[in-house]
Amino acid sequence: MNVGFVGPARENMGFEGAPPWTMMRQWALDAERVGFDVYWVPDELVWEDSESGKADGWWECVALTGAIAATTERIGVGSWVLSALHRNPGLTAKIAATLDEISGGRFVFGFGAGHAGRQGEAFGFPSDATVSRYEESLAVVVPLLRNGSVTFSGEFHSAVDQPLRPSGPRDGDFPIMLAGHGPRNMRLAATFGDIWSGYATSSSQPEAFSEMLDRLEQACGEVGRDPATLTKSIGVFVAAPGHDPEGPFDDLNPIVGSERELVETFGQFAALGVDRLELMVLNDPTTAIPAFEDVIRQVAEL
Amino acid sequence: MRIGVQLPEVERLVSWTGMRDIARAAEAVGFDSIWVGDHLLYRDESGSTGPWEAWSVLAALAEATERVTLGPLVAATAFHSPAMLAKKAATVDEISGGRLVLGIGAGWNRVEFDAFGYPYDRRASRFEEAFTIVRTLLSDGAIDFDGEFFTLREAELLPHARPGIPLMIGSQGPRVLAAALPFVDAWNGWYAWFGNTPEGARRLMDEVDGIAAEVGRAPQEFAHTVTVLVEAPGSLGNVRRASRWDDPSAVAGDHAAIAERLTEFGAVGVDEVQLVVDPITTASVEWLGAVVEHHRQS
Repeated sequence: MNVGFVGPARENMGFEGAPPWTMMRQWALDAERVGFDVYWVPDELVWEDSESGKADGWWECVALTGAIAATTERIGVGSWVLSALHRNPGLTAKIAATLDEISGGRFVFGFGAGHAGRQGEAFGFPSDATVSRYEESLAVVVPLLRNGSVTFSGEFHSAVDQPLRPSGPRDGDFPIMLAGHGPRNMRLAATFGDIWSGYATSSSQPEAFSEMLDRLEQACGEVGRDPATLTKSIGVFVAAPGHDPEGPFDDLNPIVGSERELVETFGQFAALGVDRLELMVLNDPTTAIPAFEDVIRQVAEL
Repeated sequence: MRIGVQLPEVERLVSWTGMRDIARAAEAVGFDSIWVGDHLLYRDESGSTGPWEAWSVLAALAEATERVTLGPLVAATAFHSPAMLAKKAATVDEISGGRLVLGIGAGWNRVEFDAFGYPYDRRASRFEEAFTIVRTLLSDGAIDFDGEFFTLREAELLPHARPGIPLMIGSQGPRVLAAALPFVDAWNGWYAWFGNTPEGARRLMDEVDGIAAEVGRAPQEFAHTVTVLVEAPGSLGNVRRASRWDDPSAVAGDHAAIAERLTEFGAVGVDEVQLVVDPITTASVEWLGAVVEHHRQS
């Protein structure tokens, strides 16, 4: 089983204020050294606490990913996940090809419908028909990456005789990871994805995902996809081995335990058919990342 | 006068490592600034070609260089949600340790608007709204905006941008200039707009200064920058360049001749030149290092 690291890019997560770039760069280099196989960068804008009203912002995903791709050498770099609401679909495909170029063929293109609601309203993005908009974005992005050009006319997006130029070291043929828990998003992932991405909501324990994985299998059946050919990725909240969780998500039933217990829990995910875990770590990354080295090595054999 | 250089766009396909090597060479030989076009697609009778995506590349260049200022030449507000453009700028500025100059403009190349599904109509009106959002988010960190094209509800740019990220307007359009000049730190003119000569640059800058005066901005309150087309040894002769305008003659000659010509731009009031080099290679940037050196000593 492969294990990715979700790079914190948000203010006030484990420490005051925004993580400076020099710190984020060190996390990426540490994650590479320790053996995480992908460093993921979220594409969020600003999150507001519904009770206090206090807003915490995020660094911009594409820029961070570009810089991390330029500074690392072996680890995969991925978007977790680019929101179809935030950028024009043709521009999104160009971004993906450019990030694959900068990384020398290490990019994983995570993509999803995005989060409408408060942050979308703040930034002036539409809040209606988000899955339909995403579906149309895929109708532009996927042909660009896989066929090198597209013409599409939809309700929300259009593209006319648009080529993907330049197309990068793999000519656009890098992994497409599509997110979402709802039936339409799952069918789109089953239709167009190399990887499906899900993540913990109320619990990060393995049993919380079995129903979700059943529904994914059902979605695969509905679109004629052999589920065995779709890589399943789950994002979980986890405390570093032997540590208590800290920070804003510690009430979401995270995975907590010793090294041995974490390996056991990750093994339960493997038994459920999960191919990869993406860790949202609830401790200071500077100390937490190195603490996972042995866990990753043991889990690799699962 | 500062001297910068524009990295390759669609003259030929240059890999990321090639771009990085040219940028590092420019930094090593003393250039002050490095610039990247923000375009998506060019098309002519010989076919279609396109550059890498500007903001991914700028972020990577920010990590790959240490001293030079960096910026898009110039970011088209038409291609980015304005609040996202502010967020990209704040992020690249952070990665670079405070070296971003945010070049900004309305976009002009119809073919890329049509291919990517961006509206081409009313570009000046759209720019006015987008520019207000971008500059306000960068300076104040927040905006509530109800426009014809954009509606933002209590938007916050968090983390806040470093105070004072320089804004540079790239335009010769009166409406775009009138909207931007009250707020920018610099103006940029493309060489084909003024014939690539110091006299032409001065005439265009007089027009720009006239518009600035109408909107209450004195010429000494913003920097005047122009691109200059320069020929280095080994010109490829078949250059496809990012322009809808016919190319005037390039500045050419030995190191001393080019340096002297650049000094003439300085003499007419140009504060920074961005060299558009034919050919744009590591070797030509290194060759131009002697021009930068000549200019420093003159």
